[in-house]
Amino acid sequence: MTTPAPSLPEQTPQTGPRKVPSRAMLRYILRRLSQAILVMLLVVIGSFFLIKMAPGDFVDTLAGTSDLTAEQMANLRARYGLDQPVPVQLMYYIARLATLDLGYSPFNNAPVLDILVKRWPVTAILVVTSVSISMVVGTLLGVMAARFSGKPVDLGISILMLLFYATPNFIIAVILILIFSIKMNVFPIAGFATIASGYTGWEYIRDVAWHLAMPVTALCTFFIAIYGRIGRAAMLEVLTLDYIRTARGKGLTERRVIYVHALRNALLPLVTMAGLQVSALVGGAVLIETIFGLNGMGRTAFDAVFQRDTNLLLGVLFVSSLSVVVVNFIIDLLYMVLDPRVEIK
Amino acid sequence: MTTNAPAPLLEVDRLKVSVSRTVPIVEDLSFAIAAGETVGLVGESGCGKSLTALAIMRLLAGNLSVTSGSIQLDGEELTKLPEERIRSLRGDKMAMIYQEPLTALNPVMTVGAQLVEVLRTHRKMSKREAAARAVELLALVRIPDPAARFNEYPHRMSGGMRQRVVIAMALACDPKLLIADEPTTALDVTVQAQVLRLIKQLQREANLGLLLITHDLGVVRQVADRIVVMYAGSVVETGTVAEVLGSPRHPYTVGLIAARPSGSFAVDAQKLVEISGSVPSPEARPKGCVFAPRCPNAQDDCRASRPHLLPTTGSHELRCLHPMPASTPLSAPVGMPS
Repeated sequence: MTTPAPSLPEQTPQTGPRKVPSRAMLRYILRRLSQAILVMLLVVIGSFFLIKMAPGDFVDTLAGTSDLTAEQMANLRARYGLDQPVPVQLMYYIARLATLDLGYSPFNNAPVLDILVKRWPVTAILVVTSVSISMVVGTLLGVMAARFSGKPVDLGISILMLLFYATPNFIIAVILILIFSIKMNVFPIAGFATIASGYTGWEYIRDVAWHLAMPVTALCTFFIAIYGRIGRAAMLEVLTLDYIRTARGKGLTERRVIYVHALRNALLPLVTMAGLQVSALVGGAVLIETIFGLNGMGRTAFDAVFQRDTNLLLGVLFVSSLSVVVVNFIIDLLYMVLDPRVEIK
Repeated sequence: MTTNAPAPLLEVDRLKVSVSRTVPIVEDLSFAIAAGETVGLVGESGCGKSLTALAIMRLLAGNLSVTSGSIQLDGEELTKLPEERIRSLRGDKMAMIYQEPLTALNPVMTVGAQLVEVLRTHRKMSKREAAARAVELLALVRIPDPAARFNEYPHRMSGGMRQRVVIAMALACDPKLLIADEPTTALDVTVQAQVLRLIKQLQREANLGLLLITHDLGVVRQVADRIVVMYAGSVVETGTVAEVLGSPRHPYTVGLIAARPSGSFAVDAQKLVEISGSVPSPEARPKGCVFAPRCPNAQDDCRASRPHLLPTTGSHELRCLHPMPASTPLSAPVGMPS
């Protein structure tokens, strides 16, 4: 994890950058870490009880597909500790979690950690590219709309935003598939990469990018609209402020006024939004992963629910929550870099 | 200055600034500033002083615009210049100091970056040269430890310090015209005097034309050569400081002077006198003299039509049909050339 200020390179000979006292920084990180541990513990306990409240376990699921005697069922339950009272199961779970053991998935016949190590990157790539692209595109559209507010450009962008905002992403996904896979045959219809292609290096990256183009687009549209709207409003507000007049009074070009002076300030609410978007996408990617046949976290969670695969589901929830907590911490640090007025206390 | 003076640095002639191109806010405003001269523009809040400044800088925003009249800087007609040319003048030949030092600087950029930016926009300078010059400028406006302050963000500086930074920014490219819009209003009283003295000193050193906008007559008397008294968008009285403050003729000017705290704490200090009523809103300006509704001398002819700005004695000009009698000149307006 990057710490913002301490050792930036010196930009001008006579100057040293703003110094963040390292002790305050350390205290801050420790405080955030203890908060994060508490949050994670609550997530685990909460989701554990929630899952256990639902009737049935994976043994019932098994019994539904193959003939099991009552004795076999009891044996299975005993083997996986399912015959214990729920609080006891929870204690065991937490104890194992402390050693990074996420348990075993009987359906996949593999440790949960091994499964997630394969699937987490799929969702991570999907989410990170979606957040980046929607933030950049949305912000630029918002800036343009604000810059030409009330003019046709603004109106056009506003209509586009409304369309993006109102169309559910699975519909966009289906439309994209119809146009670009079925009619035009440009993008592959499903999957993360071409199976058994033997691609390596750049070829592999290009292959993955080709596969993810449509799912990422489908995940982006809604958030492009959100960033666009927030960005437009933030820019319109910032552009009325005194320091913008000062910037114009200095004879700067309009481009510099907009993209350097105004945008840096309008970026703050957008960065906050990015944190929310990550959280939303980690959960919301299920549909898109399903439509595009991507084996990511969402798909995994979805299947785990139907198989009553408690360990796997808990693992997904744990890793997803951990990702969200980490991302939000990074965003708080980013906030401090973007806005020097935010200081560590 | 005599009548056949060289062409002034800035000449504002019958300027009209309107809202939505229809409702005039500033009307029939004329004044001139010569190089090295300080002109004080005074009047109550809302009389159009700041708008005049923004009109000169061509920074009028929203639905405000210059609808007629001319503004000439060194013979160049500012109201008709293409945007590109105006931009190259702003911050270079003409610069401005703003009323609110707390909000005039960009909070997410260092003071140094904001100074370097002006220099690099108008002068071909490398980053390193500009940074060195910026530190010099910070020293020029008496910021202690300028090299360290270079990397400071505005929020870590006091109002007085920030105003010094704004002044440094304005002076970065050696402008010929400096507009200071209530530069000390938002500052502590003790800092006010320092900042004012600094502006005046820098102005004298660089022989700048200075337009000082203020509502504080004390400030004007200290630093200005000439004074323009504005009321509800137009000039009501103008002349040298000695002429106008020494023997004010317009009832509004007289009222302004009377409304000034005497600066004394004596128990029998004169009670503050206020001018009754308030500045009419631009939509509700009377047909006749705009000051008539608040004027002790107002008569029927005042309400019938607007009086013109006419010369009286010396360079003293007056827009009033029934002015106060010329008082015994307190100090003869001799030897106050600008």
